[in-house]
Amino acid sequence: MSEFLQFVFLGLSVGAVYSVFATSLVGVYAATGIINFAQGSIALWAVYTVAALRTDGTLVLPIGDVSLGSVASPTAMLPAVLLGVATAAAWALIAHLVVFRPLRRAPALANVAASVGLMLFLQALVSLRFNTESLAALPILPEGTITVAGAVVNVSDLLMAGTAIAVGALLWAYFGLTTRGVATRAASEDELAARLSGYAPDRLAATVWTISGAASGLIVVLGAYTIGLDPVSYAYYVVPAMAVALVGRLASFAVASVSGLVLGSFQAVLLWANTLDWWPAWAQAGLGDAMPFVVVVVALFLLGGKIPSRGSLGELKMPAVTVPRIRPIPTIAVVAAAALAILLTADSWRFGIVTSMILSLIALSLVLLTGYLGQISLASIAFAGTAGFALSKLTVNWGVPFPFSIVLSALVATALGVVVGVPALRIRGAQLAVVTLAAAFAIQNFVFNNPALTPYEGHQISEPTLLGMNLSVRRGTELTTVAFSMTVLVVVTVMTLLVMRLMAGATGRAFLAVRSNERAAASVGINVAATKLLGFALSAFLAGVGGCLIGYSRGQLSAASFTVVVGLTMLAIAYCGGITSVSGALIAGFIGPLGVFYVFLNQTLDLGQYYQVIAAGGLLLMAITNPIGAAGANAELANKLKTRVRTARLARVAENGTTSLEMSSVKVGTHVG
Amino acid sequence: MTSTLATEPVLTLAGLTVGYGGVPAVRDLDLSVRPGEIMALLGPNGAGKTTTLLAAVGALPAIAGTVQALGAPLDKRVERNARRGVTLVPDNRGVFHKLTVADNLRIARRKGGTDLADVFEYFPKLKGMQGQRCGNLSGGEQQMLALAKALLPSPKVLLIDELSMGLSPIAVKDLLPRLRLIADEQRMAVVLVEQHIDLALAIADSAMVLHHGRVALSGSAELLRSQRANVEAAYFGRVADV
Amino acid sequence: MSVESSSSLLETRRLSVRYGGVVANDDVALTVEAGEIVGLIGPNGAGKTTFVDAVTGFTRSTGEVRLAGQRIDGYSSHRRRSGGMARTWQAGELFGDLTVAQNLAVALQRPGIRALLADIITGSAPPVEAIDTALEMVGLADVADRRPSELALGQQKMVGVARALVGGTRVVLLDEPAAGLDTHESQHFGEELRRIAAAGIGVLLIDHDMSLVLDVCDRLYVLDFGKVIATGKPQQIRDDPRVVAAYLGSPDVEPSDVLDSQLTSGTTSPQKGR
Ligand SMILES: Nc1ncnc2c1ncn2[C@@H]1O[C@H](COP(=O)(O)OP(=O)(O)OP(=O)(O)O)[C@@H](O)[C@H]1O
Ligand SMILES: Nc1ncnc2c1ncn2[C@@H]1O[C@H](COP(=O)(O)OP(=O)(O)OP(=O)(O)O)[C@@H](O)[C@H]1O
Ligand SMILES: [Mg+2]
Ligand SMILES: [Mg+2]
Repeated sequence: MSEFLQFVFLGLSVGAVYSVFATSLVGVYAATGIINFAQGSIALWAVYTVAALRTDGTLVLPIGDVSLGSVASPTAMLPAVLLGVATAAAWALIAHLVVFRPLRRAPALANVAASVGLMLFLQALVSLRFNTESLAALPILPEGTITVAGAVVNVSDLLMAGTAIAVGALLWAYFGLTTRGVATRAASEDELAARLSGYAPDRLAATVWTISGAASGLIVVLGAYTIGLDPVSYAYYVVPAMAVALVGRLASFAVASVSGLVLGSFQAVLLWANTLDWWPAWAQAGLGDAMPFVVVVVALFLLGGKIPSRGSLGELKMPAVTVPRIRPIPTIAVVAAAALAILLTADSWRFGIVTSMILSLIALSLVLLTGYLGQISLASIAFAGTAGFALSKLTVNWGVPFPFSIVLSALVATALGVVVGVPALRIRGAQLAVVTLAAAFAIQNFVFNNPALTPYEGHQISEPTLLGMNLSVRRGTELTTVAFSMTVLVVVTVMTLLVMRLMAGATGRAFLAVRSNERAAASVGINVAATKLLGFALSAFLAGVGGCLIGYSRGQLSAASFTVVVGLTMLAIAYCGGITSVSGALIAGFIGPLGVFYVFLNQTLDLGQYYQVIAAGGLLLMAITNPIGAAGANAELANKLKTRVRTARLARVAENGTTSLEMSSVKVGTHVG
Repeated sequence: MTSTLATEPVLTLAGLTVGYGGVPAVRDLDLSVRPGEIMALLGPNGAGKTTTLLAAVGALPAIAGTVQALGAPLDKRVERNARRGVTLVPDNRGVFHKLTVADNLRIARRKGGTDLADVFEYFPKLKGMQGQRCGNLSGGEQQMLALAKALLPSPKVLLIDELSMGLSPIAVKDLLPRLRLIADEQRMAVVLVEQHIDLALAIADSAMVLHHGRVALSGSAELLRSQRANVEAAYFGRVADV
Repeated sequence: MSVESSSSLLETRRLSVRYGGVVANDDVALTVEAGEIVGLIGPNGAGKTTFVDAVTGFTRSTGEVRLAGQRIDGYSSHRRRSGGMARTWQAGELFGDLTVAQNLAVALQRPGIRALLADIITGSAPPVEAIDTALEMVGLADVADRRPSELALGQQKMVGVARALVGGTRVVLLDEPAAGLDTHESQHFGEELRRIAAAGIGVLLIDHDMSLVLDVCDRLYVLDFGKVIATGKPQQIRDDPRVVAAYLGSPDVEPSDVLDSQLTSGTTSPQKGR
């Protein structure tokens, strides 16, 4: 029992980080409606800043650095901590001013894309700017222990928990008790109305960004000695923190704060459970990550309403849609160009092209589900992965032949898609994004990464053949065969054309109706629940086909192709390409990981190792400058031209003094009296 | 005419052209209101009333022309204008659905503004609903809250879009005279957009009828009351001899 | 499920809605016949919108709702709509992402596996004719390709009405459709309503525009605190003292007179000239 307690307390440090991240997330969400994926990355910068200051007194800046001491006399602890916390606050403020403020009228998804971009960018920047190999965290909190009910407890763990609770209480008080805090919530709901009451929404939001950045920085700085320091993990602590924030529906600071601590302890206790004999082997990996999400989903599902009730503002602003029309000539031109490109290239370039085609199919699944149906899903890559793993089992263990293997595997993904879609019946908008992220995380850690479910030789996939033709990706020294590339081209083309038909038809319109207003959709006779599940099923099928093609293109499947980070990147890239259009999906495929753009960086510019910084920075830049996505920007341009024509026509009409509506002559501006 | 009209205008639109995406919805509009004056801004659907009000608080940039408020050019920032005392009740009411009634009122209060107790006297219904989430209120109750919010800081220029929308007849009959009293007592200039011509003319000092983004008729409310036929005609863009 | 032979098109019995402690609808019994325009009026917060929500399945209620004699309480909202019961919303609730014409199209073509196959195999263009007819009826034919946000408020309201009328509607519940309409539009709308009813559709009209309601309705129900306090012909309702006290205010007094009486009763404000 005391051993159990000991682990409960040991988990408090990590729990405190979850807790503070979660309350910070809730704060930023209340103030701006943004779910800030970069919360952890911002804190990551702070902790390395402190480590560098304490090692040799160097204050590392994004460009250049300032020396405030030397190895012999590094910066003292208090100024170092203050400086570190200040950098986190500064990053948060910069994020607000440079990234999110310009995006405040942009669709919610632009903010998701931008914050994912920021997360990856900052994380990459930390690795570039700091000497992450050698820097270590020094203790800040007292190292003593006390004994509680037989368990030896670190004072530092208790202090961490105390800090977390204090931060939660502070944020709660700010939003609940001060007029400024109440106005901040108001401003995130209706900006114009808040302005009309005399509040500047930007300033209100800036305050919250700064506070939350500082708080997140502080807790990580304090806990780094206990928890450890590496350039990746803190950035991803944001994922469990989001789940925790969701338990309180992204609205309750108290629930978020306490649940964070509980999750930390829970995971520590699971570690302890792994050492017990009766604990099953399959549960030794990933259960700590998977369990909380199941709880969250169930809790939310029970709390949510089927159709949003009166006065709930669940609807997300989404980018405008261009309904696709299949025009033969451009279609043939694109396909022919792709075929030509396949024939004219070889090896890694051709592999890049094939990867881009597959990625565009996965992006298309996002266009359908997120762009058209409005369900932000971060689980699509997990659907793809599931199909890939099913493919391995189906082809190796049961010998299912080529086209059927894809269809069956994609159907497995479809089933999973429907399951993940069930929470969407009652959870909406940004909250759904987090739930699907949680699902992806659970699938990744519990299924893909579970050694108990992975064969020794890895997930092999048998070579595809069709009517005696060998379609496999490699033959002899050839890295990427023409046969395989053409197969991918055919599959992707057919699927894309089918999806375009759907989008242009009654199904597409119904999707858009659900996306824009669920209550109204139900009131015109649309079965909202069935429509959502249909969307998840179709999207998962598409992603599943994509996953199978990835599988065939590698010959063996690794979990690394389908991680949560890949999923986040995919959504962000799909968004920047243009989440509401097929051409957007094509653009996304082009710039996606390992696609043509990557090959270009790698082969031509020899900048492969900078792909993440360049891609993340590019993502950010695109999200900021083009909040409606690249494809949307083109459509917008076309629209503007059209409007200009209309304006000119209207102006002419006005000059003539008549409009079609007026039969009699008009005397304008006649004053009485 | 009341003596109030002798003072300087607190809001002046001069040669204002404003619209959406470069397409004008209101052209070359001149309008001014003085302290204590109530102006009724009338016109058929789509005439440009809402557009005019949005421009008058700085929420829509002018394509041409100027807006002067309280002796200075209008600020580009809506919140600055609001703090100086120029504000609007938008046609979607601008209440915050996620906040309680009490919180909605709380963030509207200002030093030197109207007492909460007074506002509750105007809208007694709200008093018992302070703990309710505003999103749950009925349409008319939300309209009351919107007006209460707008009156709390005692603005100098108050623009109201669709004043009576969603209010029951008895509530309107109660509200209009009150608004008149408030305008008089606080010397508040009020521009109200209203579909019920007679209701609006009954309490207004002056009125203006827009049609297709232009002024079809304007003058003192007294005159327009006596020439209802002309008002009707103006709704169709015609102006008979006046 | 019992189908009674001589049943009303829409009928509610003992319909009640509770929100926590608030009784928003209290044993409401109401009928609408085919071809009839029935008005539902009452002060702000009386429970009119709540009634529409309950009848169309958007809020939990107790009691019976019958459509042409068949009990439909317990059905989901979309199923009630498929059965022919349509509604509009007080706050519009249009599909902001769709054009006006597409707003109507979704009410005509419901999604599902069959629609999916049709999309892929034959393609499914929206039924232009039905849409045009409906839009012409409310005078919106020339804005068919615009988005709702680009329309003035009055036009938006009419899009909502048109959307509720397409797709096999038998009874339509209109929640303040004329709010925001100018006098002429409102009169014109009244005429449209008559034409709609003449086609055999049952209409339940909620509005605070008394000239419209008293003019077009065949019968009226008056709600106050969730209860029906009066019902009858417009003329009767107008003179009913309870209705006057709760809702209409003194009938003969124009606001200008109220103004005068209030102003002269002990306030120091300057007299308005007239
Ligand atoms: N966001 C917008 N984008 C493009 N056009 C718009 C937009 N809002 C309004 N319009 C157009 O501008 C014109 C004037 O609209 P406005 O809303 O000012 O009219 P209104 O007089 O307030 O009408 P109502 O009485 O119906 O509210 C209309 O023709 C309308 O279609
Ligand atoms: N979800 C809810 N929770 C609590 N109270 C509610 C809820 N929904 C409505 N109410 C209350 O129920 C009462 C009836 O509201 P309803 O919207 O039906 O009124 P209404 O007759 O349509 O009024 P109006 O004419 O102003 O639109 C109101 O007092 C409202 O505040
Ligand atoms: Mg308007
Ligand atoms: Mg109502």
